Amino acid sequence: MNDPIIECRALTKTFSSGTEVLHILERADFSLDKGKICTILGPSGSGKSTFLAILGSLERFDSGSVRIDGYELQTLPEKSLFVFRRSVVGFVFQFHFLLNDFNALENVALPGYMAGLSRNEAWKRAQELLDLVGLRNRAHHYPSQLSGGERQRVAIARALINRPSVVLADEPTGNLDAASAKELRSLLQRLPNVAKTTLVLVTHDPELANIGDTSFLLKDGHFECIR
Amino acid sequence: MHTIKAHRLQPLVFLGFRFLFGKPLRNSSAPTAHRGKHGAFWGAVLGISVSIVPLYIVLFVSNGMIQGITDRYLETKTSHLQLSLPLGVSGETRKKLQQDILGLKGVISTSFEVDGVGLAASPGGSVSAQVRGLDRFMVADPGFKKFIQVDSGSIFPEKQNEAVLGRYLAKTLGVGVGDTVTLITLSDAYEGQMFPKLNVFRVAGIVSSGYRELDANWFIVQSETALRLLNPSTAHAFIGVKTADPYGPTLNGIASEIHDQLVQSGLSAIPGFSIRTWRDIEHSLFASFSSTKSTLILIMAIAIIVAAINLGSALTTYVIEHRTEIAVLRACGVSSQQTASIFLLGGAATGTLGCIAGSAVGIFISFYINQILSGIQAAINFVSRLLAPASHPVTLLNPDYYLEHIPISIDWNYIILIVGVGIAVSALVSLVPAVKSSRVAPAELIRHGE
Ligand SMILES: Nc1ncnc2c1ncn2[C@@H]1O[C@H](COP(=O)(O)OP(=O)(O)O)[C@@H](O)[C@H]1O
Ligand SMILES: [Mg+2]
Repeated sequence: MNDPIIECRALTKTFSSGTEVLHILERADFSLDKGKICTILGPSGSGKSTFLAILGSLERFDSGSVRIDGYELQTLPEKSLFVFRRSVVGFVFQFHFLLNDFNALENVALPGYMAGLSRNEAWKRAQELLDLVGLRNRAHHYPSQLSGGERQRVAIARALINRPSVVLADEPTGNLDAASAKELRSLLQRLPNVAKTTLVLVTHDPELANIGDTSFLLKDGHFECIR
Repeated sequence: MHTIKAHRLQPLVFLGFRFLFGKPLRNSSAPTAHRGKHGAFWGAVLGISVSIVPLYIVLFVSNGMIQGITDRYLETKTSHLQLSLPLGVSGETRKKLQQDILGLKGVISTSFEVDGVGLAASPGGSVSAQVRGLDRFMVADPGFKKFIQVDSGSIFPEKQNEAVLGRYLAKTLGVGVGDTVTLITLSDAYEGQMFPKLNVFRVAGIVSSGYRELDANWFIVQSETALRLLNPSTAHAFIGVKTADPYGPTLNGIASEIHDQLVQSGLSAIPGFSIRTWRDIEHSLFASFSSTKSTLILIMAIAIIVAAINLGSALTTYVIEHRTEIAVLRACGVSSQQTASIFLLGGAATGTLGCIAGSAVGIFISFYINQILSGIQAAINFVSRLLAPASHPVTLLNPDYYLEHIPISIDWNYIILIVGVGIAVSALVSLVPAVKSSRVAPAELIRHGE
């Protein structure tokens, strides 16, 4: 039996600024099986980032239901969303968003440490994850001492520290040169296997979109399966 | 449900300290570009400590001054209790009273004194004098001896025609031990008619209590002499009583026992007999001391509040400038309660550091205030002599109004109070940035840079 790890039903999301109402998602359905990679494409402004933010509980939605790894997001109160964030999802943004005052190892370890791991455990896991993303020798470097591709790999390691069931990546190669993008692509491709996770990947990059087991096009508030 | 437990505190401390104070300098491999931008918090620490230092100095110096002045009043002039007597009371009655009082528990000594005013004159000038007719018991009292410094000669006029002068009276008159001084008093011996009495005294000693306001015009003679010379309508005779603990609650008890004795012996019915404590006698003096002290402390407290507000605004600015980092933490599953705690703890820690540093410096300076003041005074005078050789030497604390040597006693209750209030105020002002940080929405990350 293959219960989907992500399941959205009649998901509706609008933004209203003044009198204008922007329909981002209109009764959209979406589901994804565990351990898969799903890529989402779509024109700029179609709502891809908003959708990822909804899956990560960073953004609330108007109606419909979102169930991720057993959590019904529409029922969770604001106050306890952090429990969902720290235990179910890991975020990778277009910008790395590493904390400048912390070295790579600390950046990776922090969300685990803050979520309740012991210091030893958090740092041990962080070191393993840096090994996994190929930055064993960069653990004590600060973000300003790393290249763009390296920073993004640290960000991926950070997203994995709490062993999330779903990793949400929003155009992770968007700011990278071709060579770095290629390295990152192969890392992302291996992710479900090595980190026992599911990946939802928003991208403009057709090559990156190719790594998906499935691919959706977000257009006019709906998902259209293109592969 | 999500209360912060001790072991949950460690990550907050780790994160908060690094946020606010940067990486510890030792074993730091952080690029130098990441250092120095945390100056605001070291600045806030400095601000709080600098604002606390004067509070300690004012508090301990004014406490020391007030205590020192009070001690001197009590031991060398007012005594702890005064039993006023009519001038005409017989020596026998007086001695009986003194004996009865000495028999009371907690009484250390009694002495007879007659006070009045006169004009002291010498070839060097003339000045009004406070005539104190003392007996030997007063100068034998350990408290009196402790605070009276004999510049030259003896502490007590051994003969009827001898006088002991306060240091500044002697200086004004331009006399030393062995010189003669004329004391002019008014007498109304002839049926209400006043006429001046001139008496020549030999200066037997020159003394000082260390507080000029108190002893500037002392003209000490024997009590019998004072009784003879002073105008009965303005002179005041009393038995001064020293007790074991003038500041404790037993003083009033002794006062009422003496009152009871007066009632039993029938003396209380005679006008002129009355018992008062030093608090009654010097009430206005000490009321003005403590109101001056309160004013100073209030001003200093405002300085601390300003420093705390400075801390609060530094933290708030930090939160505003670091919204993105806070949003990242939140997206990574850090709760709003945790980020709020970081700033609350950070503010309290900043305040604590400032309070501890400020307390250490403030207590140190208070402790060595006499040496520091005389050092500064010496330095000023050295420089001013270089610049203007004819200039008058400067005295920082005019001895007309202050003790020449400030007795400092460090009171732990004040230290605990100041540090406690400092930390509490720091935590209080940190509530604003804490609440602000908890309102940062992580959703803004996805639209970063758009
Ligand atoms: N908080 C908001 N308020 C109003 N409009 C918003 C808000 N956030 C996003 N939008 C709008 O929603 C649309 C979708 O945005 P986004 O999800 O970032 O698109 P994409 O990632 O596909 O480019 C855009 O037109 C954007 O301007
Ligand atoms: Mg986007």
